[in-house]
Amino acid sequence: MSDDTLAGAAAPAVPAPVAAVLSAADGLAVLGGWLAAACLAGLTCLISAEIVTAAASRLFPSLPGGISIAWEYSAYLMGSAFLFGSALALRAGSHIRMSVLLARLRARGRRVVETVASLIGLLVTGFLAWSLVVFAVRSWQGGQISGGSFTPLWIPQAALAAGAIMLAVQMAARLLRCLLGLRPDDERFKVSGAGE
Amino acid sequence: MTSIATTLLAVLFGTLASGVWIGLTLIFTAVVLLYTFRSIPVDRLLPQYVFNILTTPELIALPLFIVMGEFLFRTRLSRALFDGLAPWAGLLPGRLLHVNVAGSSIFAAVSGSSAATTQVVGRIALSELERRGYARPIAVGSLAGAGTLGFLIPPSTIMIIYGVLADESVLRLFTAGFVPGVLLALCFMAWIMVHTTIRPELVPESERALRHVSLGERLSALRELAPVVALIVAVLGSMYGGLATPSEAAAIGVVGAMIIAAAQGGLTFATLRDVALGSVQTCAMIGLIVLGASILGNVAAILGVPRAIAGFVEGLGLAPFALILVLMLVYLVLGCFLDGFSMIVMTLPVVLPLVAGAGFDTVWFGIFLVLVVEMSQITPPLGFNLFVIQGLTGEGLMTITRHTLPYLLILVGFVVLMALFPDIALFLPRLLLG
Amino acid sequence: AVTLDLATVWPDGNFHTQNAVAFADAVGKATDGAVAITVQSGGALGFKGPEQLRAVRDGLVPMADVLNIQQIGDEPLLGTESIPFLVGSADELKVLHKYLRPAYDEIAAKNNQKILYMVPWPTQYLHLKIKADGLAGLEGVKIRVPDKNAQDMCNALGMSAILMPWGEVVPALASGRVDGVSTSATSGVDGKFWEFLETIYPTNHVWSSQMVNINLDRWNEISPANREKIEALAREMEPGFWEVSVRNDKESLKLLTDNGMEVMAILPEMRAEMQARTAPLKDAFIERVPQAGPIVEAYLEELGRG
Ligand code: NA
Ligand code: NA
Repeated sequence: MSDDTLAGAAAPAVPAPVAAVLSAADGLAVLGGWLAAACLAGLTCLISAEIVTAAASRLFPSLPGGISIAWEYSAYLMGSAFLFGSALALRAGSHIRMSVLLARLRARGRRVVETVASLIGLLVTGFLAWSLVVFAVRSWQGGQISGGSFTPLWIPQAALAAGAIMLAVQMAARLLRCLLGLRPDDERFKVSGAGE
Repeated sequence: MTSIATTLLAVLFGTLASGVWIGLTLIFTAVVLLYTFRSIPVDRLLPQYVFNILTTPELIALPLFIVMGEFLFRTRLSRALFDGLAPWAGLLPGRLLHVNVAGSSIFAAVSGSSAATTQVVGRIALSELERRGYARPIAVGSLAGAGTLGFLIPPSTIMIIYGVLADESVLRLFTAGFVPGVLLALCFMAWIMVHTTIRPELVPESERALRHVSLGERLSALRELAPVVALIVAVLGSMYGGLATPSEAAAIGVVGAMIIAAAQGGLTFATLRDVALGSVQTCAMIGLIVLGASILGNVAAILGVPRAIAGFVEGLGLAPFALILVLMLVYLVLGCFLDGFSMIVMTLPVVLPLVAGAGFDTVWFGIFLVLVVEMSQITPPLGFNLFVIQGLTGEGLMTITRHTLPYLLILVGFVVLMALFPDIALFLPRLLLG
Repeated sequence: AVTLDLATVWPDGNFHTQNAVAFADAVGKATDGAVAITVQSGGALGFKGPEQLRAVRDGLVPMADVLNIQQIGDEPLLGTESIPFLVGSADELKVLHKYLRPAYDEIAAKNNQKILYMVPWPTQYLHLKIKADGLAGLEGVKIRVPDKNAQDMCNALGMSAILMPWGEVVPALASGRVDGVSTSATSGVDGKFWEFLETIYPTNHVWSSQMVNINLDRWNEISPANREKIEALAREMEPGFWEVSVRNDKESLKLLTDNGMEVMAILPEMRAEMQARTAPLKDAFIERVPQAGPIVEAYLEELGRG
C-alpha cells in the first residue's frame, strides 16, 4: 500500500521548536497506544476472571457466582481502548478513508485536499474532545453514579475524554504537517499486516 | 424530508470524497444535520452518544476477537491450518480459496458478528493465500462474502436484537439461521468453483493440478489441524457447556490463542508488542467507524428518515412477494449508509406489522433481515467487512467492493430463493422446536 | 404544530410502549393535531434506560418513558421503589405514590421536566430452573439481575446474583451459565422463558414505575389550553394504564404456565424469612438517601406496618 501521500517533494526543513511539538504529539500517540493495549489486556483478564469465578462457584456453591463489576468495567475498558488507540492509528494511517480522489491528484492538489481533510478532522475531533471534557466535568459535579455498581461515572468518561484529546492533538499535528508539506502518515507506526 | 435526504447525501459524499476518515465523516454529517434541522444541544447529545456507543456490552466480543486474530496471525497456526486442509481442498476447483468459506462458517459458529468473523479469518487466511500465490481479488472477495456468515450462523447479535424487538424466540431464530447459513456457504463455494474454472489463472499454477495424495496422507494431514480444532472446541465448548456466555467465550479464544503461541515458542517480547499495537490500531479503526455509524443512525432516527421510507413502502400497498422484493431493495440502499443495528431498530416498528400483515412468518422475516444486514456489510460507502479487509490489506474500498460484488449478488439471489421457499429457514425450527 | 419524540427503551409489543402510543394518539386527537407525539420505541434514538431523566433535562429528547429506579445515578430518591418488599400490590403502590409523588414532582421540576403520568411494572418474580420450598433450596442459585439494588437483594436471600447484559441472558439460560432471572412476568414472556426455565416464584419483592416526562421548555411551547387538555388526558388515562399493567401481569403469568412453567407457592415462613433477611437493605437505603426516611415512615404508618 502506498500511503506516501505527499511524497515526491523533498522533505522541507522544519524549525526545531516545531519539530519538538510534532514529536511530542507522536509521543502522546504512542503513550495512548500503550494505554489502549493495557485496557485490552485488562478487559481480557477481567472477562477471564469472570469465567473462572463462575466455573469455581459451580464446584463450590458458597463462592460468588461471578464478578459483579466484570461486564460494566469491561465495557468501560473497551470504550477507553477504542479512543486511546485512535491517535496512534491516525498517525500510522490505519483509520479508513476513501482514497479514490486523493489517488488521482498531483502532489499539490493532494496537499490541498489533505490539508482540508485534516482541518475537517480537527474540527470534528476537537468538538468531540471538548464536549467529552464538559460531559465528564458535569457528571463529576452532579455526582452521577452507575446503576450497576454505584461507580462514579466521571472516571470512565474522563478516560474517553483523554483519548479524544489525544486524537485531536494528533489531528492538529497532522494539519501542521500538511501545512509544512511533510508526510502526514508514517507507516513506521503501523504494525506489519497480512497484506504486506 | 427531501431536504434532509439531500443534505445527508451531499455532506456525506462531499466529506468522504475529500478524504476525511469514514468514522469522522459520519459524525460530521450527523452534527451538520442536527444543527440544520433540529434545535437540540448537540454539544450535550454527542458525548452522551459517544459514551453509550463505545461502552455497549454487545460489542465486547469484537475487540477480544481482534486480539485473538492478532495472536493467531503470529503463530504457525495459519500455516498448519492450510497444510492440514490442502490435501482435501485440493479435490475442489478453487483449491484453498475454500478455506475462506469453510473458515468463516466455522468461526461464524463461534462469534456473533460478521466483522469479527472477517477479521479473524482474514488475519489467518489472507497472507497465507497471498504467499501461496492465489490472486488477491478472489481471495479478498470470497473472504468479504463469506465473512457475512457471522450473523447468519448462530450465535448472532443481530438475531438477539431482532428477537427482543420483534418479540420472537431467540432460540427459534438461532435454529432458523443454521440451514440458510450452511446453504449460503455452499453457494459461495459453488461460485468459487465456477469462477476458478472459468478463470484458472486465479489459482496459482503450482496448485492447479489435482495432486495424487493417498487417503493415509490426507488423514495424517488432519493432524496439523489439531491446534485449530482444540481452540474451536474450547471456545464452542465453553459456550454450549454453560461456562461462558457468547461474549465471554471470546476471552477463552484470546487465552487459547495465547497458549498456542506460547507452546510454539512464538511469544517473544517483540511478538507481544506487535500483537498489542496491532490490535489497538484495528480496534481503534473499527471503533471509530462503529461510533460514527451509530451516531448517524441515531440522528437519522431523530430526523425520522428510515420511518419515512418504511412508511412510503407501506403506502405502496404491494402484494406479499413484491413487498419482500421492494423491502430488499430499500434495505440494500439503506444498508449503504446505515449500520445493520440502526437499520433494524428504526424500521421495524413500521415494517414488522406490514410484513406480518402480508402473511410472512416473523421468524422467517428475522432471517430475511439478517440477510439484508449481511448485504449492508459489503456495500459501500459504509460496509464493515469492506473496512476490515481494507485494514488487513490496504486495498482501496472500491476495489474490494468490486471483488465482492459476485457474493453480494449471491446474497440477493439467496433472499429471493428464501422468499420462494420459506421452509429453507423454517423447516429446522419446526422439526426441533415444534 | 408542536412535534415531540417520546423515547422509550421498550419494544413495540411491551404494554408500556402501547400505553404511550395510546396516550400519543389521544393527545393528537384532543389537540386537533396541534401536539403530535411520536413514540420512538426499542431505544431507536440511542438513549439507554439510566439516562432518560438526564436526556429530557438537557433537551436531548423532548419526552421519555423513564424507569424511576434506574435514575438513582442522578436522583437517589427515585430509587425508593427499589427497597425490597416495601410494596406488595398496585394498591399499596398507590399509597406510596401519595407520599412520593410530591417529592418526585419536585425532582422533575429541578430536572427541567414534568411528570405527565406514572405506570407501574407489575409484580416481580424469580424465574428459575429448580423447585424449592424454602430459602435453603435457593442457596447459591445463579440468578441474573439488572442492577446493584436487585443484586444486593438476591444476595441477601442467599442466591448468587449475576449482573449481565440482557443480550447475553437467553444464550446464558440456554447453556446453563445462569439458573434463572429476576424480573416481571411480562419480561418473562418477552424472553420466552419457558424454553429454558421450569418454575416461577411469586416473590413479589419490588414494584417500580415508569414515568412519562416532558421537557419544560418544550412543554411551555404548547398553548395553555392544550397543556390543560394534555394534563387532563394524563389524569384520565392513568388509571386505565394501571389496569393494563395488572392485567398484563395476569395474562403473562397465564402464558408462562400455559407453556409449561409452574408457579410455586411461597410459604408464609419463607416470605417472613425473605423479609427479615432483606430488612437491612431498607435501612441502608434510608441512610444513603435520608430524604426517603419520612416518606417511607408515613407510607408504612398508613398501611399499619409502621
Ligand atoms: Na455467528
Ligand atoms: Na453497507
